[in-house]
Amino acid sequence: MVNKIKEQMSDAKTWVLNGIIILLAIVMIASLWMLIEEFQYAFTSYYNTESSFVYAMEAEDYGRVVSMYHDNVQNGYEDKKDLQEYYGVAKYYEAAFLYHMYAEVGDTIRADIQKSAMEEAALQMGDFAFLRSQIDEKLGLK
Amino acid sequence: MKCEFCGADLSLEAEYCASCGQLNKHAQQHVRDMKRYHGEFENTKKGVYTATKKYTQITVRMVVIAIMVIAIGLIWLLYNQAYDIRRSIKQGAASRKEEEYSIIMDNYLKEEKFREFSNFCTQKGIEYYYADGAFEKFVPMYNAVYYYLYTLDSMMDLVSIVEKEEGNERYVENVCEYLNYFYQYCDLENFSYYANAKRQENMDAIAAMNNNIEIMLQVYCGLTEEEAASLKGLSEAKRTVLIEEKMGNGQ
Repeated sequence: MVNKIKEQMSDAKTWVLNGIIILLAIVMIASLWMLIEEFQYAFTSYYNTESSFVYAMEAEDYGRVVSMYHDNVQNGYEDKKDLQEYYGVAKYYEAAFLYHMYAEVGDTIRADIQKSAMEEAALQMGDFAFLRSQIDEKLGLK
Repeated sequence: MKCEFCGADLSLEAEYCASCGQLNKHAQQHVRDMKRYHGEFENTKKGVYTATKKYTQITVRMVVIAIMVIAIGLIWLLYNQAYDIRRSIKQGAASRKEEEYSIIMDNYLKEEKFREFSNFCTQKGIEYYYADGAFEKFVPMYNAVYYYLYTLDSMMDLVSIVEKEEGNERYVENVCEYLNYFYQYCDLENFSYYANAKRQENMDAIAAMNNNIEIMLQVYCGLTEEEAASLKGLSEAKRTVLIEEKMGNGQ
């Protein structure tokens, strides 16, 4: 009788340990998955997509467009072909912002540099060239 | 041993006496004893095997569990270190090109290309807290440039939003907050610990950024030239109040 109870307890221990092993295996697989994802995030640069630019431009939030452009440049996505026109808008707005600053205080040298940057960016705007007047109006440029 | 009937020599294994032919009772007893002993031996052996097998099963499982717990611990350790590992790799690569990168960064500062300076530092993993060697002289510039750009960007945000609503206060707060940080990091006295932190190139770059900020405040916040120039010397609270007043008057 005692031996039988001892045998049953021993079987129960084995079952419990099996259960723990299965649980730990699940945790280990999930942890490995998370580790792979984390390393992917750490070693991969992400960029702002076209839809993000479209959303910001629809809201006329050109400051956000500029920030997104610089984020993409920082992460090495300056040459993305499908985003060049959006980059043109960002560069134009930033150059116009700075041009307005320098023109107002009479710093003609810096103003001229930004004016050239505006013209260059306008060429890059492509289909968004119509936004020039909107941006100029927003910044109070003549 | 001796035969109990004739006294002749008998071995324990002999079933009958070779001399008188009588039955050897001791041999029978011996056979019975040997059978019993053999049975007990087999039972004991079986018991030991069973117990050892169970013990081994439990031990093996315990070892597997211990290994898995250690493995999970190592995985989580690596998980928490992922970005540090990336930073170390980048910084290692940057350390090997210290002189070359140092020249590039100096050129960016001289040409007032602060955006390019910041992007370069981020891309190459040259960061404020880990700068040493040839990069130590740039320590004051990392955060000064960072917050200069944030101030510029937040002002661009403020100018470009469609309507001036109550929620626009957030944009003004952003400008003030980043401006406060910018002025804090412009003070090179805070970086006297770092070699060459107060070199002329750094001071020139900070002067250029300061100048741009003053112009920005004049044009987009409505401050006078004197107000913009004296803003740095004000406390954070007074600075914020002044800018908010001017922005409010401009609405």
